[in-house]
Amino acid sequence: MTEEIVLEVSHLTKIYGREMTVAGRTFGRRVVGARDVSFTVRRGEIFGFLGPNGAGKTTTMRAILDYLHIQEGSVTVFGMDHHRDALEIRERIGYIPGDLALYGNFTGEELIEYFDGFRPVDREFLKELRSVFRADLSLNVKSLSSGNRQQVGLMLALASKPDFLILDEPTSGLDPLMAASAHRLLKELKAEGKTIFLSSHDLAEVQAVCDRIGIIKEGRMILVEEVENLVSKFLQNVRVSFVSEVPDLKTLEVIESVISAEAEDENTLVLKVKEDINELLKVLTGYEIDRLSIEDATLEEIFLQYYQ
Amino acid sequence: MRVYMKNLQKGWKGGVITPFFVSMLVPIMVGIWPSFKLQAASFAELLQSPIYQALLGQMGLMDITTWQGVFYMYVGVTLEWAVIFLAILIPARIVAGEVDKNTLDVTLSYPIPRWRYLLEKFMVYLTYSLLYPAFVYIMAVVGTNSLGETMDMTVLGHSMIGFWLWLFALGALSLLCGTLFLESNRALSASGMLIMTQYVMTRLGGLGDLSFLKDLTVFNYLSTGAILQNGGMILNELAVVVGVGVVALAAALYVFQTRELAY
Repeated sequence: MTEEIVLEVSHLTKIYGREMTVAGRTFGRRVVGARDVSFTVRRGEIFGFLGPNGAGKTTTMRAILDYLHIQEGSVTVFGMDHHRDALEIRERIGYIPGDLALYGNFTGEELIEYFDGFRPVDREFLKELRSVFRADLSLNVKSLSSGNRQQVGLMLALASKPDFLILDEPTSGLDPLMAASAHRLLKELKAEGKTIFLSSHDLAEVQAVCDRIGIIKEGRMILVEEVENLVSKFLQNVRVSFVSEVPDLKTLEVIESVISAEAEDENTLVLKVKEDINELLKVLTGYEIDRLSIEDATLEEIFLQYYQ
Repeated sequence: MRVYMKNLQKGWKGGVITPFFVSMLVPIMVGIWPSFKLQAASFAELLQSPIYQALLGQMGLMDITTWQGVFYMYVGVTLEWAVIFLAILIPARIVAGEVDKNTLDVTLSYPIPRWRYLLEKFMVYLTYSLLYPAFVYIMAVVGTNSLGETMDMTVLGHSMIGFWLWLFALGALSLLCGTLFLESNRALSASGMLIMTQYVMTRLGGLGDLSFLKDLTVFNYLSTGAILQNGGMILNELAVVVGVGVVALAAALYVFQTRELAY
């Protein structure tokens, strides 16, 4: 993987609304969409963007696309300013919004032909897309199910085989088989050097396709990490069975890396440990241990941990 | 011109059928004219009332004992209301309707300048708007010949151009409301208020000392009655209507190009 930066978001801040104080009374309301968000996406990687609803994922994506005016920070795509060079950037990107809506009175075929005029379709790749996705392109979009509409949306985003894909919940509404096909496609595109920035609530999907993830919470980016490292390093489930004396839970909870400690039964404790496990092990050496197991947490557990 | 051509193709049913139905007023008038003609003198006396004169504006100056006078009065009033409804309802929703349905996000991710996208969609509205005066004109030519009556077709043509220019100028104002408010209900309320206020001001301007109100409205310029009395196009009024339209359209394109799409 080269280190060429495709997307660079630097200190992005977007606040919606205005507040005004007159004679001690405050009018209006300010809502933080994103605050001081910084991260990069490298060429040829799939970057997963995670966060609960309202955390700032869509705000960040819409700001990258220059739909929103940011108050602070900068965004560059392929080294170009997202606002000044918006048209040049759009020649090289494909986008699917989270709340996908397409012209209902167009058929899938008509939509592909319509948008072909703006960003030419890669005809060979379109054939491949047609073989992967099963949505009937001869039907009006309004008569399609939400899953089939999503397939049409994905085909539109991918049809020109753009260098950079911004996908907001790309497999939302797809059945598991179709979602798996979409994942394979994304991996193929990645292998060809395309860059993908996707948000998802499906953590299994993120774990399966993403190289790195960023977690955003209340408008702030709280973590950017390789998926591999995250799973092995960031959270471990420790299960300890003691021969006789069991340490006091409070003793363990004061250890900085211990996130939670629960008694499973009178001799067994289950602990969630973040990052460095050594301090905990030092404490445990003072007790007679029957069994000790350490397992990597799932991405879902890690994700939930960051949101607590 | 892809946006223009595709939307023109997609909107043809409503775009062609509605003006055709509106223009059917002319054959209906042709049908009733022979019997109406006999009672026209008493109607003409009724219309001398200042209230009617104010309500009808310059249409009230028509001599309704002639086919041309009746035609202008009825068709003029009908087209005036068609202009009001079309200009309020369609351009305001060009952007706002897409925002409501959330279809703009995908479209604007393609490399097309926002202003050009909006301009091409507005041109679709202008094209179908042209069919209202065009169909009425064709029906008028056919109807007048079938009745054996006379009508100055050049003046009629200029009047129809005047209607279309109203649709352009008022439509551009309505489009501006759509780009400013982005949401259908608010955009329609704003455009309705803007256009209806002008219409009411024109009518109130017909009453006594309020004539200055008329000068502030698009409806006061290039009205059918004025064109008929002038015997053709009034160039300085044409400049006013086109000027309002061009300024409003330029403002709408600028606003849409530069504003943020936070919804």
